[in-house]
Amino acid sequence: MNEDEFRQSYAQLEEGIKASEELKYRTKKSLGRAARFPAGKIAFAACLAVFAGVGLLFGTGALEKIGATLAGNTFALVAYAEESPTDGCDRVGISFEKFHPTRTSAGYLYDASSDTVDFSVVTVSRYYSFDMTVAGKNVESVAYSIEGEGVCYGSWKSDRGSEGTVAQETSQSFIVAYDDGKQVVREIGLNYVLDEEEKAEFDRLYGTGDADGMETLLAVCDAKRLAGTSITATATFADKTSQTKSYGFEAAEGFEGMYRAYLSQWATDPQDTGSWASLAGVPSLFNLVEKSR
Amino acid sequence: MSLFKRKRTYEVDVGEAIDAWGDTVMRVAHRGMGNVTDAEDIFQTVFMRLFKSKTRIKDEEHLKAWLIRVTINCCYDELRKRRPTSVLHEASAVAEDDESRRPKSSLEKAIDSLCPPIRKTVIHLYYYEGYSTEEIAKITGEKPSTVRSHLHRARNALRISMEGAGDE
Repeated sequence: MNEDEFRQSYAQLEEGIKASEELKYRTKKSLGRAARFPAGKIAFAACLAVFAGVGLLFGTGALEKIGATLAGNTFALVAYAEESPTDGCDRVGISFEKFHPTRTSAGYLYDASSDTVDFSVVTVSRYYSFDMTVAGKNVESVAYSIEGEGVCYGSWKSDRGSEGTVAQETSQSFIVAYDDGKQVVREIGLNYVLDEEEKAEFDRLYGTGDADGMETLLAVCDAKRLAGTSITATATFADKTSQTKSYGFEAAEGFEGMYRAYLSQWATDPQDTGSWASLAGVPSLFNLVEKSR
Repeated sequence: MSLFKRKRTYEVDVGEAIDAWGDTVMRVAHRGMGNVTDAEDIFQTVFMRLFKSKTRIKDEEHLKAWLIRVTINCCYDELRKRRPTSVLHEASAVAEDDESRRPKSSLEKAIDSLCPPIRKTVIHLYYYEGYSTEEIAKITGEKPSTVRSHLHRARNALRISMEGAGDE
């Protein structure tokens, strides 16, 4: 082809490549978050990642309200306390925007040393962003830990506090000094291998190219692992006494159907910022359960 | 509306920069990475860098060139990072973007296969963004003669005839 023909063909090719409104929206949102606390690299591997919610809590003054209702040496996980469980319930719904996958990968096991793929094993790595901020009285510091098979805390942070090298941080525990209003956002990492039944379904979906089906399957697999996961927060107070609270995650009734419906809605109209904004009204996909009081 | 709210300090409104130059960044990132998912990651990194950058931006053309340069560098950084430590084989990983369902045209495959990757960028900047080889040299940090060489070799690889060609 001659140069003009190439230019024309190439232009047609490139016109199909655009930054989606959803991508622009969540990039702007992530910049808003970065303005409040250093976030370093914010990676979004999943098409459904939503970075809308963690800031809302503070915008509504919920932290102050919760703190005001507490007296003496006491504390509570804000994500739990702000939902005000009633009638002796030990569980509250956490909306999708407050608990969602931020980085995901899944695939057949690859051995780099032999450059071969083992199609008998599927490894999964998925991270859920979660705001673990606590509110309390006389709190000096909070130690967090996580228990469960293949789970860890994760976060992305820049080691220079600005553009440049980005390091991934994972751990089973960490301690933060208590600071009213300062968010404690970490990812909850799930790293696991699919069992036989899950893998059979994975193989089937892999063959069909059903991306929504695959994402739903992995979300259901996550929910099973999260059911065996506990996050524990231990507050140390000014008088050096301490108090511990432990929480777990439980998939809401109809989890699979709701998740699939969410993906369908998203796929139908991915560039509609209006419907994106209305997601605040979606049902909670997980319940946060207080395991010990 | 101008992206430059306070011209004396060259302060850029990143939100408006995303609206104005988001597609440009996305296309350069897509050409560099070869798929939408990775291009979206690069997109976010680039605007995060703009957000944190202390670079003095003179005007909108300077901003555009800055964004393209950072996008190219981010792509190279990412590609370089992946070589020795890939955990999941790319072909076996779950593709989460619609692009995996869309067959690429032979032209797109030919462009994707250009090596070294700078040639894809040069082709894009020259034929789509309309930059001259001197301007591309400034953006990429290469010598103009090197850019011309890349362009020449890329044209050969893509079998672009220079019959009735323009200024190069």
